[in-house]
This record gives sequence, structure tokens and C-alpha cells, in this order.
Amino acid sequence: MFLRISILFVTCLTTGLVHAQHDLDRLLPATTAAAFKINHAGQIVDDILAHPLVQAAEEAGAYKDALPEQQAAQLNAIKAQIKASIGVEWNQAIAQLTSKGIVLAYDPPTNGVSLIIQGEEETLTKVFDILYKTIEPIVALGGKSINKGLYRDTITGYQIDDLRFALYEGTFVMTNSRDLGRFTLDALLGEPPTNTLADNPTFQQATESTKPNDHSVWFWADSKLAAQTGGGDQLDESMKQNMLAELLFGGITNQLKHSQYTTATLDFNKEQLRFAFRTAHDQAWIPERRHYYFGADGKGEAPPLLQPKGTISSISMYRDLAPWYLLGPELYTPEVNERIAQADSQLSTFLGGKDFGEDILGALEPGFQIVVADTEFDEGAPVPDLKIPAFAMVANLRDPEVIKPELRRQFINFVGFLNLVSGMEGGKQLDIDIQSKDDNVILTTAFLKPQPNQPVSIEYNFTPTLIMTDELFILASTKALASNLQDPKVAKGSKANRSTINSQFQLYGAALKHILEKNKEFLITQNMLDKGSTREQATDEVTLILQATEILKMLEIKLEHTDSELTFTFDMSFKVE
Amino acid sequence: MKPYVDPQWAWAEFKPTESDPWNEHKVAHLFRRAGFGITGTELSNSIDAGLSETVQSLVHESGEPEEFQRDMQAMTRSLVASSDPANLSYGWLYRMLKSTDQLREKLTLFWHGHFATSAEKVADAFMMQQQNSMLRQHSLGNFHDLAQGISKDPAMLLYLDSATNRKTHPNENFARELMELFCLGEGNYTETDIRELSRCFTGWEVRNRAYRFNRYQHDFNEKSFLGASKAFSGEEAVTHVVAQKSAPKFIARKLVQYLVMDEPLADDELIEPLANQLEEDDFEVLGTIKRILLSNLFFSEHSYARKIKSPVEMVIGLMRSLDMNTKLPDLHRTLGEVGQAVFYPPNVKGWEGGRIWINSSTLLGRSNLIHSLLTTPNTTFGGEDISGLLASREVHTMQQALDHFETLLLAVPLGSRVKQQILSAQQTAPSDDSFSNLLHQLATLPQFQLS
Repeated sequence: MFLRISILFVTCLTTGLVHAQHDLDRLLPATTAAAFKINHAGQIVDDILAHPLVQAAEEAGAYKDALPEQQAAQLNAIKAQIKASIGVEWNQAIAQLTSKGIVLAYDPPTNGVSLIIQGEEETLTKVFDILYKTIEPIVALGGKSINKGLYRDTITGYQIDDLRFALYEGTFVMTNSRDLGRFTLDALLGEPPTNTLADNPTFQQATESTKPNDHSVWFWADSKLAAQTGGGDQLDESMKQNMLAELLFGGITNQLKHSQYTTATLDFNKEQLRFAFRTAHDQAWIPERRHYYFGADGKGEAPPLLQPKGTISSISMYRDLAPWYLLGPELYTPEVNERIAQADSQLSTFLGGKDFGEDILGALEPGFQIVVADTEFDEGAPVPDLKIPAFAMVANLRDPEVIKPELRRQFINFVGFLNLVSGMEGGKQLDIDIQSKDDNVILTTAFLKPQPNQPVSIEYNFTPTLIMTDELFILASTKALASNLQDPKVAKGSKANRSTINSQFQLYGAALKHILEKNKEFLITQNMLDKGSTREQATDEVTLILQATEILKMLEIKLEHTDSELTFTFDMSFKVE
Repeated sequence: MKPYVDPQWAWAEFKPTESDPWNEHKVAHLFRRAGFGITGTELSNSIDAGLSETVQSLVHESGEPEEFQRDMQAMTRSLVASSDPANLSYGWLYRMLKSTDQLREKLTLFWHGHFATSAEKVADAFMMQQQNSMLRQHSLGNFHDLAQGISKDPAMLLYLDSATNRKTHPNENFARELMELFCLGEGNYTETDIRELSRCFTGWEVRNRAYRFNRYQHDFNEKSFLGASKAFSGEEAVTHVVAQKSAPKFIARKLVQYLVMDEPLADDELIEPLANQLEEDDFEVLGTIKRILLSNLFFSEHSYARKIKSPVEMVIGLMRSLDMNTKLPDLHRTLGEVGQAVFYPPNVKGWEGGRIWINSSTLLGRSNLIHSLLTTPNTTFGGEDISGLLASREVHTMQQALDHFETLLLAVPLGSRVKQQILSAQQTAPSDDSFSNLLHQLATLPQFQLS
């Protein structure tokens, strides 16, 4: 119930609805810099309410506190009034109200924001009356009143402070700007103006790339807006302060600064939620310092995604890590560079004088993968209560013959260093096993078994392993994962249609649920401690969370580019019975 | 000047009379001292049961249900598996809140402060949990067993530097604290006793998180301390220390200080009867504790409001009384800020308690702690909001709420003028906010800090 009310609240108040006696794009001026459209709001609400994730959340009562009691009661009253007046349930009413669409737009010259809703005239009029009667006394309580006036002897306009709104033949308009409001009302009343948003060339370019009416939600912004508001510079600045953000998003923010437009779309149904963000792309815009992101020729390709047994998630990226690390002064702020220099000095000591950026990261070809998988334990090996997923980094070596002995030595040093530190604190020791054959190196480690009656601590999740065969480099937290990744069938990865993929991330719901299930006891404990609940209550709640996890089939995040466009997609698919 | 208290009267059993009856005030007092505050159910049940039966149930039959013990074992395993000792604290706070064996938990906290060991130095969840379990197991048992247990406890051995206790270079830390802080008190031993006693524990080491006797590092020669000479082993040394005349007095005095009054009229004459009982009981502490809880002194003006609540007592007491649940990791952190993070005592002396708890900084910290506890969305009252809980207890008005809080939470009744002032400062209609404000205002009063 609360969830439904919340959705109504959010849908009605933060978006709006449209109707198309008049093309919405022709109700806004050409100077509009951003527009946010919702199509088929009724269908979206129906899909959300019927979605298994939402139903699982309703069962878990997770939404119960989403709205304060008083606001929930007010919304309930409005809902009841709507039903009494229109004779349909509130979600059906939304479908009628928004049958022609919703648009929320920003116009910089007037600094105006406008909400336009188009739907079935009769329903819209009834709902308008209900809301008007609800709002009027609230406004009066604040010592104000709603001013009324007739625009061009035809449309009744209303005003509360700077907020203006009107309803005319199935179109509801609300804005904070008189001029912007007039533009829309003139368009509704008379001959279509010629300088509308539909005539804006950047807008036309964006709509050619993504058809607004093909998506549940569509967003467009003129890049001039980002320049005016300083948004592009802010994004670039935030990249300079964070190495990881630069690694993940530096290339996107770079292109945003040059692109003429940005569009975003959201599509939702029971089986899928897909968000796509598009912007223009041109190889010429990529400065040398960001060649590490796209490659010098702009054709950098993420390696094939690896999916060993028990994969929970995989990340594959085209990145040349050595320049990302070594181009510090050009990419990062002086403060970040100072921290890099400190870390570099310590790493250099630890690596026996070797340079981390040049000698270690520089030994890897551009493009790397990180794989997270379920932990496997050898028969008879100690199994800890808390099971941490295994993880690995996979890359190709630039010059295998030269670098393999060096990395082998560094790994042995690393294990020795860990043993030394651990030994000083009375901790566990790693045993190391070295196999070398035909230039291939397999270095596996394992903690010595605990004494009888001693707990199997969290460390027993790890058997750090380094494998270097031919050009392949695998550094894994467990021997089992490293071995699985070495399997030629796995190491080959999926090669299909990769030429446009720069970065890719996949998360598998079933595998995630499996690892959470293994740690159910720990989750129950955390729930008891976080909420003070009994074991029974905690078990019920954790079970529901696990069931909700099972509904997720896959989450995929991808960055692709063609010669002219960069696309970032966020795609969730669900299991629907 | 301390008023004289007749020891015979002090430790004689309190008999309720018409003029001095067994009432809500006394029940709440008993549960605040023998546990962490009182719930509404405990209050009404205990009034019906009477003093003797209530103390009997606290002392003898208050074991936790098997199901709860299984839950706690599972929780402990899970927390130890995380390898972070801080996590254990959350588990213990949970147990203090939910356990039906309140006296055992209260005494476990007492022994934790007595045999103070900090996870800050030990840095091992398993060893800290082993010690906590040992303290809980013996908390109402035999002090001699407890002293023997703590002497071989791996966390304690690490905390007091057993790693450097070698035959050729005995480390005196444990020997000193065994006599000064654990068994005898200052002035009952000499520096020579410390040196000699420390030789008895040479070769007591920790290997693989367990006690190990390294005979190659143990000094098997004769040692002379506390008036005896022989080739004492470590175990024999502990027995010899506990057998000193000052030991039962030292323990009895600390129990009185913990359960009855912070600044006791604890001259030897007053303590003597309890010390004698402890000795006669062969250091079984339960009989002494029961005698204290049933005594005239315990139910007298010498005891009421003569203790300052420790942060844990204050918060857990408040939470139990109002059936509150909250995010315990956050609670542990804020308790640390006002000076009492369990598993992390400040030093080997533990928490000194008494007036030390209160200064301008901690008083403000306590107020902030209660405020954040009452206002965080993570806090619930019996699974609902505070007005819902109070309504279920037939508390609807601000006046009723004030009376309800006073009964459950305050050691001394508020004067009518103070009550009037509090109520006039809360001139809003009953609601979650106004009830919370009232409770917070009450929690900032000096009376609230008293147990």
C-alpha cells in the first residue's frame, strides 16, 4: 500500500504527464536546454507494481517507513477522492492522466522550469479540481491565496507566488517562468511557433540517435547547459581527485566536455530494466593523456569476458595501466600525486627497487579483467565459517620471456614479506609451492592448517596464487580460481561482437545468492545486531533478501563506442515465472 | 565523616514491613544492581513474587533458555569468524539486552573489569571470546577457579606480556597485578613477593592461541613469597595468593562496591562478615552475592542512589526498560566515546567507576548518546515507535509518561517541583517527538545518572 502511494506521489509530482494534440516538442522554445519525457506512465506503474522485486519488498515490509504516517494518510485521502470522482483505481487514473505523455524541461534564457502533462481531458479536469481543492486550504494556511486570471480571454491561469499553472483541453502546464508559460499557452492557442524545441538542430540530432517515443523515459540535454553550469568542469575536477574514478569514468567525462548533446533513456518492464546514456564521440577529442582509456588509435577493446566455474561477477576493461599510473601530474591534483609518490616509494622498497608503474604495470598489455567467483575448498582443507568469494586479476604479459622470472621473484618476495609481518604478530604462515616448466610458472600458497580445536579463521579463504603460462598472467586469491582461469576453454572467453566494447561488467544473481546463502549465518547475526531482532525474525528477513536476490538474473554495465557515439548502458534482467 | 553502620544489621536479611514494604522502588533497585535495569513484566512479576523469591530466581534459576543459548553460540561463532574483536562487543551488548540471566551478565561485566584485558592489545577475537566465555562460566562460581583460569587465559597472558616471561628474565607484570588488582589489593605484598611470584609463571606461554607450559623456560627452583618458601608451580602460586587473609576481604569489598555503593562505608568491620562467609564457602561467590542482595544495607539509604551508572548500565538499563532495539555497532561506538567500550577497558585497572564516570565532558557525551539513541531511525520500542509502546502500557499523557519513566529508570523519586518544571517544558501534545524529548530531558538530570 505505502509503496503504491509512494509511486503515485513520485510519478505525479516529480514527473508529469503529456498528451499529444500538440507535439510536446512544439510547446517548448528552441532555447530549451534539457528535457525529460515519460511515455506510458500508466504502463510503467503497472509494471512496477507487478514486478516480483517490488512484491518481495512489499512482503518484507521494507517500504513501510518510506512515508511519514501523516503524509501517507493525506495521499490515501487524495487517492480515495480520485477513485470516487473518476471511478477507477489510482493506477488506472494515472494511465488516463498521462496517456499523451509528460515532459519536464529547463529553459536557460528564462531560467524557467516547465512541467507539461497531456492526457484524457475529462480525467485531467476532474483530478485538477480535486487537487485544486486540496491545495487551496493549505495555501491559505500559509497566509497566501491562489490568484486567477484569464489568458487571452481563453485559458484560466493560476498563480501562487512565482508558480504558475493552467489546464487547457487536456494539457496541464506548470512553470516558474511567466515567459516560458506564455510560450506554451500561445502554442496551445494559436498558430505553431517556428522557433520551437523541435526546430533545435542539437535536439534533432539527439532524437535521430534515440527516438523519444520508443522509451519509457527519455532525457536530453544540450551540452551548452553543462558548459554554462560548469557541470563538465566539475566532473573533470572530480576525476582529478580520484584515481579509481579516473580509471572508470575518465574517458566518458572527457567526451562529455566536447559533445553537443547527451541523451539518456530508461526502459522498464517485468523482465528488464535498461538505462542507456549516450553522447557524441570523436577520436579527435581524446587527448594524449587519456590514450590509456581508449587506446592511441581510439580502438581499444576490452578483453573477452571470462566466466570460470562459479562466476559471481566479471569485469573487463581496455585500460593501459602503466600510463594511467605514471601520467600522474597530467591526470591528478598535486595532493593525489603526492599520495601516489608516497605509495610509489613504499612499493619500490617492497619490490626491491623495482618501479611499480614502469616495471610491474608496464609488464602488462593494455586490457585487464577482474573475476569474482565462488570459493572452492580442496578436500580436507580447513573451511572457514565466513566464506569470502575468490577474486583474480587476469591480463596478458607484454614481454613474457623477460618479465616472468622477475614477477616470479616478486611474488616469492611478497609471500616472504607477508610471513615476516604475520610472524612478528604471531599470525599464520603461508606455505609456498613452486612449479616451473617450459617457461610456465605456477606459484601457489596455502596457510598451514590450524591446530585441532582452533577456529578456522577468515584467512583460510585465501590461497594466493600466481600463474604465468605463455602470455597469460593470473593473480588470484585462491588456487582453485587461478586453475579454473587457466583452463584453455575459460581463458579464451567470449569473443562475440567485442570490437565496440571498451568496458564491461557482469553480475550473476544466482551466483550472488549462492554465496550469500553460504554466509547466511553471518547475515542473520548481522541482522540481529543491527536491529536487535530475535533469531527467528532475523532468519525470516534474511531469507526474504535471498529470495529477492534470486529474482535478479543478471546485471550488466557496458561502455561501448562507435566512431560517432559513446554509449553507457546499465541493464538488469529479472527472472519472471 | 562516614556514618557508623552496624555490620550485624547491615548483612542481616531485609524483612519488608508495612512501613517499609516490598514495592516498585525496591524491585527496580534490585534489578538495576543485579542486572541491567528492569522490564515492565519483571516489575509486576517481582512485586507478586516477593523479595525472597525474586532474589532466589535471580541467583539460582535464571539460566538462559536452551534456544537462546544456541542462538548466542551461533552468533558467537559468526562473530569470531569475522576475526575482528570489536564485533564481539556487539554480541555481548546483545546478550546483556536479551539475556534472562541478568545477574550472570552483570557479574561477567564485573569480572571483565576486575580482570581487565583489552582487545586493543590482544587483537584476537577468538582469544577474547574464550576469556569472555570463561568469565561468564565462573562469574557466579568459585573465585579460586576464576583466578586459576585467568592465570592461564591466553588473552590475559598476552595482555600482561607473558611472551617475555623467561626463566632468565621473569616479567613481573602478571605477578604484580595478580596480587595488587586481582586478589589482595595494595599494601598486602612487597616488591620481593612480586619478584619471587613472577618466577612461578615463567614458561607460561601462548602458542596457537592456547596456553602452553614451556618447561625449558620455567624456573623450577624454590621461591619465597607471602610468607612461604617452596618450589611453587604457577598453579600452586595462585592458590597460595588466594589463600591470603586479605583475599576474601579484597573480593568482598569489590563486590560491595559493585553491587551496593560506589564509596562504601567499607571499613574492615563492615566487610568482615562477608569476607568470613566467602572464606567459609571456599570462595564460592554466589552465597555472598545472595547475602548482599537480600541485606538490610542493600535496601537502605546507604545503597539507594549511591552508585553512578556506568555508560553500559545506563544505556542497557534504559533499553531494557523500554524494550528498545537499535543498531548495536553504532551503540558500541558511542559507548566508547563516553568511556566504556566492552572488551576495550582503558588499562589493566579496568574502569574505576564511581565519580570518575562523571565530568563535564562525559555528562554532555551521555546526553548526546541518549539523544542519538532516541532519534536514530534504527531505534524501535518493542518493534514500534515510542508512543505505540507507551500506549500498549496504558501510558497516554505526558504526566503518565513521566511517572512511568520515573518508576523504571530513576533511583530516587523526582520532587513535585522538578516534575512540574519538566512537564511545563514539554507543552506539546503527546507524540513520538514529545515523549522522546521528555525522556531525553529526564536522561540529562543528575538523578538519571544514579543507580
